[in-house]
Amino acid sequence: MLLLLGISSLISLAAALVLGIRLLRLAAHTRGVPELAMGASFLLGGFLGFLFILIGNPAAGVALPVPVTEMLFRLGMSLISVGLCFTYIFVWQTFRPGSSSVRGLTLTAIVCILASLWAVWSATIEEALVSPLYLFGEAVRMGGMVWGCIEALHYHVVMRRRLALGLADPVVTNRFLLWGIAMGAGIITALTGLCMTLFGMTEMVGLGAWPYLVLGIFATISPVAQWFAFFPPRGYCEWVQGSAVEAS
Amino acid sequence: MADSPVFECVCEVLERSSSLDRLESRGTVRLALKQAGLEARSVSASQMKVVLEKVLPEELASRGVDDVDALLGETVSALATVESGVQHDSPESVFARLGG
Repeated sequence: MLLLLGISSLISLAAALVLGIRLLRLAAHTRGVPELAMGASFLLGGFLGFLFILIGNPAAGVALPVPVTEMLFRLGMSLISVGLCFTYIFVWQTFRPGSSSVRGLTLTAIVCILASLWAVWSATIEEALVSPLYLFGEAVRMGGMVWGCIEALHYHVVMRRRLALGLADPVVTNRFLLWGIAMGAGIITALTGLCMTLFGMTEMVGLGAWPYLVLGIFATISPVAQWFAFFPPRGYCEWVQGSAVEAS
Repeated sequence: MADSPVFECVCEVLERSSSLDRLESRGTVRLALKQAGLEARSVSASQMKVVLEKVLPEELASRGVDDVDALLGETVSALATVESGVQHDSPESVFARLGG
């Protein structure tokens, strides 16, 4: 089971690194805020933050002194949090850029996420992970993914209507679905990880292997869906276009 | 956010040249746009032409509007004089860019 988690972690890291660099390069060319925010989110949170946490995790087999693992965890959590702040910015700038109330909510969420890091930096890791401030921050972090998932899946429905009239590109329409799936899988992964933290690894082991299986499967689905969304192989694009032609 | 000039133009023609009043014409066009997955505030002229051709005829006929073809012809002519207005970065254009 650890092997499955290891493979899914590597897939996730590789996807975040490649997609992050690719989207930041695109942002340098287009000067677009959404691609800048999504690229920063991939690179800071999905790659660097996750990498630090993985290296610091004793299960990774790297025997590091406790202060080093604690520092890696704190840095990792901070980077993941900053990454999720960029996810909020991406969703706001992509789906509701003109709404001042959504801008206010986004900025509030970012302040809440950053403030919740106080728990990570001011207590031991064991204390921090069950502190109300950290858990509140975790809820806000997940809120960004839930919001992104709902917006993307809703827009996919809208795009399907346009597609039926020949007003949309099938690959772009499918991209909303894939990104929604990636966000959904990310939510399930984060929730499973949170349950493991709250209820303890030993209790989870007592439940059998299923929590690890859930974690491994959904932690793999998310980067694969993101890859197909933002870096679609030619064969996949042809399949999506062919399916759209058949359906019309 | 204000409705697009394209939307306003179509509604004005329907109100002026059919039996529908202002509220009915705006509601009918909004329903047609929703059916097409479009919004009144961002619809472009080219998108509206497709809606006029594929969605609106049935909507107008179901409301008892006479001579739908002539009415839509007049609407398309009026659309030719309207610019779509400022085009914001829509979710569709953002996601199109992200795929490279």
